[in-house]
Amino acid sequence: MASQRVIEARELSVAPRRRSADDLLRMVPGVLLSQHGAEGKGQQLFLRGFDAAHGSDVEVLVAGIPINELSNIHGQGYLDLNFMIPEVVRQISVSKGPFQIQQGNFANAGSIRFELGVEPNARGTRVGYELGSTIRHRGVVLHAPRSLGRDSFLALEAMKDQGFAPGRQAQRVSSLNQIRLVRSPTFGTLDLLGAGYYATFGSPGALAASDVSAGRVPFDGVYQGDGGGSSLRALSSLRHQVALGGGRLEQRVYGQFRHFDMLENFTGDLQDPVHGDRRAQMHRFFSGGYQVEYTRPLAERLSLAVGGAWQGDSISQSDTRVDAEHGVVQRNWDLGVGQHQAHARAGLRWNATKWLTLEGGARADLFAYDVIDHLHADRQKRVLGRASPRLLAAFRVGERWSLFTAYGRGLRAPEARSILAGTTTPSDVVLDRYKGGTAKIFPSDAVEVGARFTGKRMVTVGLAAFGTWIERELVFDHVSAVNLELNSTRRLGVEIDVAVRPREWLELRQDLTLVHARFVESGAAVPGAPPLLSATTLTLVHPSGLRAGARLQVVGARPLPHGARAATYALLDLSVGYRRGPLELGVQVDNATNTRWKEGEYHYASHWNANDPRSTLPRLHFIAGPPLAVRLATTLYFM
Amino acid sequence: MSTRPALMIFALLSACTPSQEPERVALEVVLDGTEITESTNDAGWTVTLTTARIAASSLQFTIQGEMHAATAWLPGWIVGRAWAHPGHYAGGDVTGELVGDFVFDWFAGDGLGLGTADVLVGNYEGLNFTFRSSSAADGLTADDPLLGHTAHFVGVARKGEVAVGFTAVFDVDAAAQMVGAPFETTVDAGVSAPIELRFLPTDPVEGKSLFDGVDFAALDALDMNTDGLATIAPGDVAHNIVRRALQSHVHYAATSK
Repeated sequence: MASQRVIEARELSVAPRRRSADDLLRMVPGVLLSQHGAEGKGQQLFLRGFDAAHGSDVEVLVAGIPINELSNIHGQGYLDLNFMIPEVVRQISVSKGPFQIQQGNFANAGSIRFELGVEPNARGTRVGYELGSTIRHRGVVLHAPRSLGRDSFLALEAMKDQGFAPGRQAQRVSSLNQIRLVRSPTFGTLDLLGAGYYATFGSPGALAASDVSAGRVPFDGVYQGDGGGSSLRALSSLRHQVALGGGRLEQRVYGQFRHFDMLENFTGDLQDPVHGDRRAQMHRFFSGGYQVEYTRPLAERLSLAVGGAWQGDSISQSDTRVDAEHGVVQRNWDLGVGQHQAHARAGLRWNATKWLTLEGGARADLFAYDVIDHLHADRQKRVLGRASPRLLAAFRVGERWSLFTAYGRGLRAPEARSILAGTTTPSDVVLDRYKGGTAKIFPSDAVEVGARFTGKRMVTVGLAAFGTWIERELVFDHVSAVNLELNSTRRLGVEIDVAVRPREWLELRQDLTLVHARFVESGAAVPGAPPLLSATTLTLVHPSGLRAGARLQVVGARPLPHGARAATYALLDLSVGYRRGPLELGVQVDNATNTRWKEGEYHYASHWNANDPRSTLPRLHFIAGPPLAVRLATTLYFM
Repeated sequence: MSTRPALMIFALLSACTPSQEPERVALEVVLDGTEITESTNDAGWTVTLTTARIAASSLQFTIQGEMHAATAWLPGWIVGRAWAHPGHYAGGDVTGELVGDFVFDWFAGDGLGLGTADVLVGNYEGLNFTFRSSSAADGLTADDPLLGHTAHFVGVARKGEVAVGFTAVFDVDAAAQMVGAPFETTVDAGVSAPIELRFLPTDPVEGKSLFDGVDFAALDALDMNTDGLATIAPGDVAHNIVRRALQSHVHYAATSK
């Protein structure tokens, strides 16, 4: 596809604003991230006109393992990528839209795959230390013996950061290790992945713009200083790859334990004038999964790909309103969930002629939920399924041009809480209040038409026009516990990328995404989606040891609910490094122009000042983006 | 290549469009008693009201947002008003309000203003308010039947040749809301017509009366004296029946011409 993009280790190694692997998502053209907690909390994502919140419409896999958390209490598809250590990310593959049969739940806007490893030219043992202007300390140890392949490494990271303002403190320790256990011509390869991660982070909450302009609270201040949370992950997987029957078999078994908790308050005391609106959330699960894929040629020009997967989760989750001392005021949710996700897929790839390639296939997804509501002594079960066809065609026109077209159906499964909707409406429900719709998988239909020009040496140009239609998006409102059906939406857009490589060691790149996301009938803008996203990137990796990266990102004015609008902003991030012998020195500069910007903007009601009228009218809120920050890094390489 | 044009574009883009609140308009809210007509209940009693007063607070006006038509009548209150978490917009929010405590007196106060509402431009669908107990702060005298209660109705119920005059006071739980009365209008920046708040003794859609389930003859006989006068007070069976209907959105409406 014209919009597909692979970001290699070389580019990742000089990416500016590289605080964590989560930040590497910024490298993906068309992705906008917004952090409304501190480093360690999952970020809000926007892609192709979707406000994917914490991951509800963007599928992310790390080393083939799905990371989106189905039914997370904080947000459907919640993504926390902070357990990854940036030094061992060797590739990011981006597939926008739901056009490939491998793309599963949450891939309405696209899929992003992180591959782990250390390329041969970066192997060895190294120790790095980073000191940042926000009183940030980060140390990393990487052991990737040259005698082993790129898939084997041991990495350990520890970080502590006071943050640029109150509520932004973060600390984490992470270990990410992968080793090839077996490498046999007969039995194939066996790779073991193990990861352990623990983090704590602050959560500043959002500030009412009117309070900031009135001088009641600083631009980067907080109303309450007790927001924050912790995140823990233990992950292990075993991947087996073998040549079999003229084809290639890959299978993976994995297991995971996750714990996430956080305390936040975005509305002050609007709901509860006595105790305030603090909410404490806890989400904990064990999961296990198995994946299998087999690809083989059926004929000279025809190949088959079949696969399937299963994942089972055992979840415990709660959502509680608490007071200033964090004592329980009201229990909103206390659930035990057993859920299964499974799919089977099959597709054919036919190289019909040397200028035409066709791919077609389908996948069938199945979701099963068993939800126990401890607060209401209720139990609901539900099994849901949906089939999704995918079609692609690629035409080569001469040596330099390729044309692409694709159709795909994406899907998002409902969260476990929505299975209970209609049975756990608030206790004060009387008379004729709506009890909500039925939880279901909602599909999206997407098309893309594009072209790519690949020059002889210096230039590549990509152009993709896309459209995504959703007939009836289902949103689960977790305050009222009802499933709401939204009107039809369509997202039309264009993506353009131009890369110029005047020298082997220098690349200039421009990515531009324009999106027109609207509700079909009313013509109203879909809230949240940025209509313009531009990234201008410079990547310099010189043989002399000099490395540099620069990125200028421009974000257009995002429409917000009720006719409000977020501000446009532009950010310039820089990185430069130099390696001589065993020593490498580096500097990263975030927000080099020290722009005063709003990373997240929202439009909702809140009440923070006792002397103010208790208004339920929405107003602009924002979370300040980080100002100029500098990080100095030194790395010592041992052969 | 000169970097100056790029820097100029950068400066322009980073400065040209600040955040923007939606437009707001101020609209007066007035009581409109013209829709209080005779109402016949399911027992055949035709009720003519001469007093209809309700103590309430916090008038809210809600938009439908982009909820599908199947849920179009969904009361705004129930969808959370983006309280839960920023970025999880679901529509149906409260985008207009008149803050304060009021006594809606649709007879003596017909045409009187309650105050000026703060309303965001948009397509409106619903009206909410919160019931409360009245107090002396509402300007009620010590012998006012409404004092300490939520609602006060006076009227005559007729069935054939029988007429029963009645006085009724109701207590509604503190903070209970009337949710989702129709307020179908488009508010744009040029709108200045007041919002008229109406009480409808008869549900205009299904024809149900506020007094369905009440047998006024039986009420009259409760005091062992069929003198043609009855009272409904907290604790009475009739009180609980009517109180339930009183909280339903079908007996209220607002318009802006």
